[in-house]
Amino acid sequence: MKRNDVIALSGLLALFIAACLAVGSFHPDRSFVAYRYAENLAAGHGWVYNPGDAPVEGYGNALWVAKCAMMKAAGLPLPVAAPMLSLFFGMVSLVLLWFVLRARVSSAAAVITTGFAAVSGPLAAASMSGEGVTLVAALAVAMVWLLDAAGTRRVTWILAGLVGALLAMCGNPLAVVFPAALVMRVRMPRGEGTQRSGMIIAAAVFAVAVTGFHVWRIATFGSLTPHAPGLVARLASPGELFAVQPFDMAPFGWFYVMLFVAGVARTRFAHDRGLPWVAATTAIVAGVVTLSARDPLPGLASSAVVILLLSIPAAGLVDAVAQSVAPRLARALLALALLLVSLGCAMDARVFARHIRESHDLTLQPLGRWMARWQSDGSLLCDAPGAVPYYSGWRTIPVSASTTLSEAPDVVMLTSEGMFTAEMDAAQTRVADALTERYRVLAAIRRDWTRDRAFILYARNDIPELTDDLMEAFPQGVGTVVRLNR
Amino acid sequence: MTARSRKRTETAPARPPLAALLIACLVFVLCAVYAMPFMPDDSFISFRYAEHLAQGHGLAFNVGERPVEAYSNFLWIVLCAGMHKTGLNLPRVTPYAGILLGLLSIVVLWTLCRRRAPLWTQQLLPLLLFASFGPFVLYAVSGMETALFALLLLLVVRYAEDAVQAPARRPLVLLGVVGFLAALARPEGILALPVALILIAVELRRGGRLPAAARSLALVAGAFAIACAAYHAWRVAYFGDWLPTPFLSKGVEGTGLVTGWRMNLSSYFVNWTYYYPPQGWTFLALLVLAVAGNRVARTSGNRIALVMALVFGAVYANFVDWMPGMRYHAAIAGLLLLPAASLHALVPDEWWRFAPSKNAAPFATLVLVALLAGSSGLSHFKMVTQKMEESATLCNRPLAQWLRNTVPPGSLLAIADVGMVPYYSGLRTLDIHPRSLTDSHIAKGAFTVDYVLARKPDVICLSVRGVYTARMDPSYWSLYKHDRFRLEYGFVGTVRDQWYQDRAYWVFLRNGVDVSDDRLRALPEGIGKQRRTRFDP
Repeated sequence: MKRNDVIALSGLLALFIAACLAVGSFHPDRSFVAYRYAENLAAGHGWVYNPGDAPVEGYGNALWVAKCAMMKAAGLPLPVAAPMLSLFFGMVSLVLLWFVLRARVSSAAAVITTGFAAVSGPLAAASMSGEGVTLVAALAVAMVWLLDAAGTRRVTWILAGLVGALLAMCGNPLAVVFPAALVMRVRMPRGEGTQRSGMIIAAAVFAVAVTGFHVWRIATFGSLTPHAPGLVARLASPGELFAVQPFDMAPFGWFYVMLFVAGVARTRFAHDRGLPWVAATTAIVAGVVTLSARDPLPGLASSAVVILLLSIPAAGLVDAVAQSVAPRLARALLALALLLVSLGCAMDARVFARHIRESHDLTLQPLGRWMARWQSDGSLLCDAPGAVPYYSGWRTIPVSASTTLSEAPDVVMLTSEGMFTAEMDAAQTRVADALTERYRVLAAIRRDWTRDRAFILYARNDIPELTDDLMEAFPQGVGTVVRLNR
Repeated sequence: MTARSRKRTETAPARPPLAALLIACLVFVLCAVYAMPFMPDDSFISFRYAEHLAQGHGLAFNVGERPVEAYSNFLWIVLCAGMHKTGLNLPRVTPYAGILLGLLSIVVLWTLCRRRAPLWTQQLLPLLLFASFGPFVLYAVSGMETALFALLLLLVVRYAEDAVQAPARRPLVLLGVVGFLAALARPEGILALPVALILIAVELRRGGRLPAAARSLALVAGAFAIACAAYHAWRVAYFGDWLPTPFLSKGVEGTGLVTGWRMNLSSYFVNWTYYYPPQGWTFLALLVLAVAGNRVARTSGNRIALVMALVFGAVYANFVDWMPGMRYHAAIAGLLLLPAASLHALVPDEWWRFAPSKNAAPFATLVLVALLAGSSGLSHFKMVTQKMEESATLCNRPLAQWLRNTVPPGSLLAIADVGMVPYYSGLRTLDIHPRSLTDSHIAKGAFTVDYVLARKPDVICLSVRGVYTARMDPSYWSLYKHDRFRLEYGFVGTVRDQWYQDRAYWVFLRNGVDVSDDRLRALPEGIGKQRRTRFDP
């Protein structure tokens, strides 16, 4: 690697870290589901959400859970260590993107495009989230790189197949990504280094690995499909992409479509059947998978992989402009304008990351800790299976359409819009209606300013009244209003 | 027009000459319709002044009281008064007037772009960026003067460009007229013409033409100075004050210059408010594009537009504002896009002429990317403004309606947000904001409990953070805890106006104001379900 490349890459990574620091640390509720699985796995309970229960596939990313379990086994606290790991994989994905681009486009175009991705809001938010999004991004870029680099060397094809399989372990629907990329690779002309036997080897490696993974899955969980509806993602509506994201976050659908147009346009107009074509196809397939799920991260950050993949074909556009723009200063200024636009998105994501941080710091974590102080072995039925169950350590049953109260949990926690008047969705209303005879309202705590989103806690009637000390210690939540039934 | 650009025009693709303009206008109208409704509280201050002016009460916020210059948009108020005089409903018609002014701004920008970019394809991108630029679109439909000021600034640049090319009487007279109108539209607008004249003089001096044009420039400057002096003499005589009260309440008076800049830098680039994304990055990107365009084509027009934008940007850095999207800066977006229009020269001419024809598709892609960039910003603003509209629909307007139907018409209302509630209630209003806009006593001096109680307001609406817990500005707290206040006023209830921090109005009625329990029970609850009334146990 040349000295200039080292300097450029160091600068880009510094820029990326600055963008991540600007977004700030935050703990999305969903990340705690993986932490809980990982801690149970590390403690020898297996792939379970509640120790002692049958295994349930309630996580989204098996590979991430495994990595978190390794960290836990090494004695690291996950709420601190997992965001560091997200950041690490964010950096790895950028380094990989840099190498992919450096081999294809000019140095200037590689710097501008990698810089754009480095300061983009979604990637920065994903890198601070403690979720496995950046792991997916790193694997996807590595897979595209290997597919592009694979010529006559079998080992590269084998590696590509393995990385594709690892990607498939990051989420069951992501299993379609590698086959789609491989098909596009087949379409590359022979001059680009196509080798039929290598492709067959890669496909075979992928098929064996993925089959093995799913055989293990089915054997462990006893089901082909995940069967914990309260824990898995719901489908996103177009409005969530382009009007208002869940929890009143700014919609980033436009940002993704803009990159998509730039990336695909370059691929289409350049009649390039090589790397850009494979990257664009992978981005589209991965995008369909990730963007179709309801995203609780600011900036639709769960789809950050799409930004990195689309940056590969879009770099061609940047390269074309960079080569045609004569005055060096004008070229630099154009690049700066592009970076500022991207950085603006990071600052947008910061606004909403702050809301999530506030919710975690003032409501979810204190509530979970308060419950742990109340009882160490309580049972909870709730519709937010992340931080509160994690910090409380309680056995937790997610609310779902099929949920019944037959297990008679000690406490039921439902999300409502309003602390004094419960406005809930249909499923929660059904549960709340079923509670009236056997449960009493214990307290309500706000988790979000907007619409007074709050948790209403119901306690089973036969549970003794809580002591004054305990009630006094009930967390205040977001704001100054807390509802306690004493 | 240079020989090179003339040659380009001769080989331009066969498209209607108005294509870029029509497309941009269509996009602007669609964006504006999407952004509606958005009418912040401040718009209603102008409406109230305009209606009073049209009804012959002069420029008074409260009919029958001494005039106070609590506005900073004289020309807009006069225009609104004219619309009201013809029987138009201001909250309904001003968004459409703003759209019309926005369209005129696009037309002026188009005429300026044509000088820099002869082909319609070259003109389209800057026009589209302007037409879909979130802050500009948002404040065009806001019932405020932003689109009018943007139009006047673009006209100043246009006639300044004309004057540099040929310092004849016509462009200089027109420059003087629009410069004076800009001075009437906004207080800082008084800078537009002097800055333009200085820049024209500098440009003419470079070409050695200054001596010949010096007399004409001096005449325009003199006429402008006389007109402004006359206007300000009238203003001071009419209101009895040198400065409008918004200068006292929104400027950095009382704080250090550095404090204002620091506060603004933080809100531009880090954290605007709890809900608004910071917009400084977008404006900075526009500035960078403008600098690049100025570098590519070092024309006098580009320099004038860029310097003008920088001057106004520097002025606005002194004024701390809470509204989303940097509303003051929205007016200078057109000035920044003007030099940016010269960036087309970076791409070979053949590309813009669709020769070879395959360039049509990449061009369409560029257009789509520009539109998506604009839509992104606009969708963010829409999300924010929906919250503000929710507040207006569920809190401010119902509260005003309740006041109108509950207290006698001549009653005095004391409130800090003097837009919507006073406008729809029609009550005389005492602005009790610690940085008051419409009460010169508080604006010049300070909020004191004695002053407020001496005015004997019949209704007091205190802005409080909290429905159950009173977290107030120290001034309000001193009023709330004051014995005389407790003795003379009774709590009616809370009307919540924001989700964030449970911001609510705490409504108090002066004892002796005859109101039935039924009317008291009809006090609106505002947004959400949290409320407290005097009837609560």
